[in-house]
Amino acid sequence: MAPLPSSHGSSSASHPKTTPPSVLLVIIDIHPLSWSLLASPPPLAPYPEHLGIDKAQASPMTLPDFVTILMGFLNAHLASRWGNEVVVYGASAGRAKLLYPPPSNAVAGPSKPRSNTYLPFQLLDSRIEEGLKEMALEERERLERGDVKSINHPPAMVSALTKALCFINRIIPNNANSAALMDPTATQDPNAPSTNGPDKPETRIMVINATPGENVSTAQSDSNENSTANGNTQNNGEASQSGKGGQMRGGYVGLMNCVFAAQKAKVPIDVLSLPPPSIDASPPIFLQQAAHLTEGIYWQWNGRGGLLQYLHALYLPPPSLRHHPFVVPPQDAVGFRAVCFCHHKTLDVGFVCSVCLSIFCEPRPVCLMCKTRFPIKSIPTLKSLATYIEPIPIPDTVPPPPVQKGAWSNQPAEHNKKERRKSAHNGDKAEPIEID
Amino acid sequence: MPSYAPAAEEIDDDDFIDDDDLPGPPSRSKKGGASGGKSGGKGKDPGRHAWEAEYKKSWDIVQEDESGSLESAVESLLARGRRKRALMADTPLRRSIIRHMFIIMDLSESMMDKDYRPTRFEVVLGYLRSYVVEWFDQNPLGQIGIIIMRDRLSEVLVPMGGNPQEILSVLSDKRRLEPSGEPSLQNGLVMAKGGMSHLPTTSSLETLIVFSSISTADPDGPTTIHNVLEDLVENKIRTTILSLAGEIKICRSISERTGGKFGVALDQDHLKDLMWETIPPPATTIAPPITIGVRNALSAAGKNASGSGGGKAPNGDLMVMGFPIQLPLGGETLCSCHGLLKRGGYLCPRCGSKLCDVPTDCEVCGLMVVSSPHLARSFWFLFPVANYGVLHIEDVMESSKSHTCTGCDVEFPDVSTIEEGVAQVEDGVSPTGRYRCAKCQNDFCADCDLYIHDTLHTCPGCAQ
Repeated sequence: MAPLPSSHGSSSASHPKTTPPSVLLVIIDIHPLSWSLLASPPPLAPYPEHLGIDKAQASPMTLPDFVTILMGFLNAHLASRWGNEVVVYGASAGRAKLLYPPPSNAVAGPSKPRSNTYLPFQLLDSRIEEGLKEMALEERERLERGDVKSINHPPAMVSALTKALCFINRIIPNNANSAALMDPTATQDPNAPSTNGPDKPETRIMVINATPGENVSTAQSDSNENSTANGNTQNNGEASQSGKGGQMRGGYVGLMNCVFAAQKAKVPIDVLSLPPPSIDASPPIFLQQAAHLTEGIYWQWNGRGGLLQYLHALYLPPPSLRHHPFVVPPQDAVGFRAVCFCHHKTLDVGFVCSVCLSIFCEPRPVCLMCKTRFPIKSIPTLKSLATYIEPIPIPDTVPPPPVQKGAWSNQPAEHNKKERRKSAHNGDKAEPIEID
Repeated sequence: MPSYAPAAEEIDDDDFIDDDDLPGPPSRSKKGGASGGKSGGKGKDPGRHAWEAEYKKSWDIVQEDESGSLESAVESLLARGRRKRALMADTPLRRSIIRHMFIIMDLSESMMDKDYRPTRFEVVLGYLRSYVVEWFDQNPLGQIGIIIMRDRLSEVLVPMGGNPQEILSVLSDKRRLEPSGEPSLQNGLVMAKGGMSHLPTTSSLETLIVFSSISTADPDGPTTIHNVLEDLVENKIRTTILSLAGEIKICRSISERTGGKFGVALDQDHLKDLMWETIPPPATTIAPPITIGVRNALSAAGKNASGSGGGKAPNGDLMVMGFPIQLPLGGETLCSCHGLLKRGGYLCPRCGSKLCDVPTDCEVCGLMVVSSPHLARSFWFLFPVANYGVLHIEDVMESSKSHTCTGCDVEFPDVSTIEEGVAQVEDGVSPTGRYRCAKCQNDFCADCDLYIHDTLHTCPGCAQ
């Protein structure tokens, strides 16, 4: 029995008799290029300076292998409590799609229920397999149509996240949104959060990221992410063109909007980043921020197997059990960096318009967003302030931060640090601005 | 208890001449007779006027249609929201994002009136709690303080600060907030002005007054409330007054002259609407400062706002900001701001010194360190989601790409089953239940439409 309710909140919080049913929304990154990279990891760790960490070779991981592991995890989630549900989204290059549950008119069930299988498992497994195959076919079609450019888009994480949040909003309407429809007095107890009904399901979003680098944020400049090996400066122009139609908004700003909506709905966003450190020296910092801000779990696979066990150990407990009796794995340092609006670079130090708070990577006379004029005479001062900014050495006790440090050098992230440092002083001029 | 020293003053009748143009005043005189001569408190007789007398049960408004379904009623409510949003769409881009607001709460006896259920006090308190949360949600760089007015005194309940939790915990302590006596508007305003005197006029200074009484008991002395009003105008403190009782002349003139709004709440919903209207940052009228740091901005205290030039388009400035790295809660290290051993903290991106909290100025190199999510909160002003258009039946017939909502993947009702012109729903509501984004040409259901525009601020289709 639970102890006497000494304090109203804590007794139920610390010793829940039962957990509410839990809805797990999984977003799988199935970007073909990322998976090809995961399936054949590069032989050499690109950052030999982190000797201690990256010595062991990462084992290859193919999408079928991973889906098998994921099915095991999802089945475990379904099995762990009656009423648990799973929703799966696939995020491929530039598009996101609901994979499970299927639209109700599509299929009533598997053609042949197997007598030795728990029916929900079979439904889930077969439908996800089907959905993944469908998406793979679509990808192939795109490739055959010669639509190569769109293949280079980063995975549509933001789109998938917005879909997931809309889904959550549908099954659990938030007080604030439907306020117009509700008795106004209901808002008088804001202290009673989202636990109106006893069996109101908990929701959580789990993002499985397979794309290395800071993919989500800079929607277009990272379209060359996967061709990291060769120089990619020529890609930039093309990429920012494709990003013209609101891609930037769909990137960093969109992700942040999702994070705030998730915060409001008290939905944690868990992030599992698959590319091991040997492939991916810089973690997906914006997904990491998302996990941090929504009190989700961020974890990066080390590339050495045991993934199913990790999934079970880290991600299976529902949010209500995460802090008691379980413990969230220690989280890394989080870089609260931002993306500038003009060139979509990830910044450590930026210039912020005092009126609309837009972020830019270099001083400019007029704000791009709100057209506010800035005093010209202050620009040299700001420039001089900027030139003194050097990447800071991070103390050893802290896990190595994301690599890109030269805040407003124009170089993409993945390249040689030294080169970047040099160029930071050259103050290379920016390409034309793409903001509509 | 009228313990206020400077001559606990009768109500100064000149200050609150009821505006006779309103339908209110006649009823008030009758009511005054009913509730006795006590000037501060006033009960409302039921059955006099629709807007004041009866407690409207919100569930009575909702009418079932012939088939016993609530759908039409719900849709009309939705339509109201949609129309409101359509009006909001072209709001100005320039907004004061750094805001300081004092909420002045009337805690006079009139707050115990039961015309709002259970009492005005409970209703206002409840709204204030969600208001504060919502306010900080939309104004992450803002600060709120709370002042209460009762017994002809004013008291700073919560000093100006940026922590909603602190405010909420104070607001949830009802024993501290027992209404009593009469309010003194003047004292409240003076207190608010004093509390904001150190702030630069370059940030948006505001007060929100929830006024329940119909009179104020101001101190006798050389300064009257009119002097205070002049001060407010001079200090550019935008004052918004929401009256729960009726229109009061002095309140109206205060809010009008200081650039705020004056509103009389018709009922609880309306009160909420009025309060929530003040949540989005106001359009900037005041020039933002020329700053390099938070502290400079504060110490400059608006002295250097001259660069803006009176009345012209506001000038802004670029601020150099650093985005820190938050350390894990591992070992303890010395912080540069207090020199104490602490766990966690943030690393200044320029000099690498550890700071306890952001936003702040780095102690070592003076860089303004903010966490990027703070800034990102306001981005939805910059990239609003375009309003979705209503899809009529013929539109869907022509171009139905998908049968499910792009947001939540719910199925749309089958078009063929919708009869033409079912009791022609209000404009703004789609007869097919579909709403289409003009940009990405994807269809959404009504729920997602609301959610995307009110909360999410990102279109799932356009994000692809």
